[in-house]
Amino acid sequence: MSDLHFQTISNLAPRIARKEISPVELLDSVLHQIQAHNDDVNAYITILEDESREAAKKAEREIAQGKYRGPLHGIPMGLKDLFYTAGIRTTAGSAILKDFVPDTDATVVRKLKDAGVILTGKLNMHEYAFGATNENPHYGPSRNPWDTARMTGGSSGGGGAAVAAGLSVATLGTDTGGSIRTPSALCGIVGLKPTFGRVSKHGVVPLSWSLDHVGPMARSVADAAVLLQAIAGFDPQDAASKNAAVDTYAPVASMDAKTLVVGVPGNYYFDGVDPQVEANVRAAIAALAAQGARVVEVSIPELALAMFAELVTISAEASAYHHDTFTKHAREYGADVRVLLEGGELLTAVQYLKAQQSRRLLQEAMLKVLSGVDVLVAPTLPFTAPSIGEGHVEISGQLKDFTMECVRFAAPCNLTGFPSLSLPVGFSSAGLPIGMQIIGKPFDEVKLLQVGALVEQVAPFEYKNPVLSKR
Amino acid sequence: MEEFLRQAFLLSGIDVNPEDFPYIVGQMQGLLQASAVLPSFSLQDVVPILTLDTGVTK
Repeated sequence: MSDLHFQTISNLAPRIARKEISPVELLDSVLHQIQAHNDDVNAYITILEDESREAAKKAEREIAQGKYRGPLHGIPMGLKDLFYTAGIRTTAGSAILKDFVPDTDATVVRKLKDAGVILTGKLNMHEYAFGATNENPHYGPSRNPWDTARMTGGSSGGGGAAVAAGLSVATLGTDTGGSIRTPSALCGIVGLKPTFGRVSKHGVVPLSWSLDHVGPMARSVADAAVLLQAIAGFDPQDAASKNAAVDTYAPVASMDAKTLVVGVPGNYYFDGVDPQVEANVRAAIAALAAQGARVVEVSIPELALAMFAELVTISAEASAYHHDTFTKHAREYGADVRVLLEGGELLTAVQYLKAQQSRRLLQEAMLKVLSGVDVLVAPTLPFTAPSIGEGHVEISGQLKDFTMECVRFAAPCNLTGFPSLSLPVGFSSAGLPIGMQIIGKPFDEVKLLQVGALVEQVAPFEYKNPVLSKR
Repeated sequence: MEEFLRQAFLLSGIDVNPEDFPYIVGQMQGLLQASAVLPSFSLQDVVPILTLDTGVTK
């Protein structure tokens, strides 16, 4: 069997366009990988073998007739199981929605289908996206392809596992407190949380409506740009959608590092970080400096407000969204989600409003700092993937709560709506991926992608694919 | 504290798992600690809350 399933969109698309590769041939490779290894990584909740074969044959016919739609035409992709897919069950990782079959597609699903994407199935996730372990009590935990005894992180953990292990060429995730960036960092792929309002959330099961974002997860920055190009844009069906012009994201324009000013936070983002993570992130920053980028230390004291604002906002909004269902079906939720929804019921209006005030202060402070630099860079997470079942991570000899540590570095960009791109910059001594995040100004995804592509070129490490046992 | 929680959930109509009470108390204490860093907000800090969703512009 070929290794087409491990190729990037950027490699595959020109070959599909030139008819050197058939979408059917590519799908066969991905389906073979799914059949061989989904039991190892538990990335898929639903596999659409027959439907995807029909779609691939259709794409093959269209391309043969000269009707090539663009770089996503014929690309096989699973999607997180909270995106509405017409006629295909959408569980949101829950038991409550185990038989829910939407009659419409989410806006982003429709856009991907219009671009020619082949839907291979629905991907595992933390129940209702409310958590970071991806230890789903109803569908089982997703498993990290770099070590299947370890977590993928979540809540888009099935996506992280699928893309890293070649079970999906790329995918979309959702990110409310790091749920795109956490599994991307732990599984060694690229994840982009765009600016709030940049990508439609219509037809996406919500977690916390003022923090939720939809964005790409992919094997390269260039692939993330292709996906963002396909899904970005105003949607009148999404009240949070921003009616702003869509930039040209793909292909990612090259940039001269000598014109780049990189801000490195001197507080918060490097506090309590595993030494190996910090060393790899600082090596990537040094590589940018060696290319001529100007690196300056910045300080954002208001980041201290982030955890209070994130935890209050996500809990209050999630409990409000689930309230009616929760009053009738509390026992059908997993234990970890149930207790969070119970706790959210007791938050006060004063706490919620103070959280929103905190968000505004944080937004102003970050915008001020970003006015003096092109981007901020920081670790995506303070650790590498822990073992499944461990609720804690050990950082420099201290035990810390896994979920809180996942949220800590992600939350500022959910609270402010600013874009953040996570990409791999190295491996730990145990062979586990390490991620760095690049934070930009609102709606400046072009710059994030440019800097990300530059980091891919200059970071001092060589990426490789995970090796799963043969089946 | 448990009786307070039991009454609060009774009023909200939630079928709470009593075994979760210690965790919920822990959550509330955690938020109380986290709120210690909050500043005193001024009047103008109140105004833009309603526009936060669409207030981010290029």
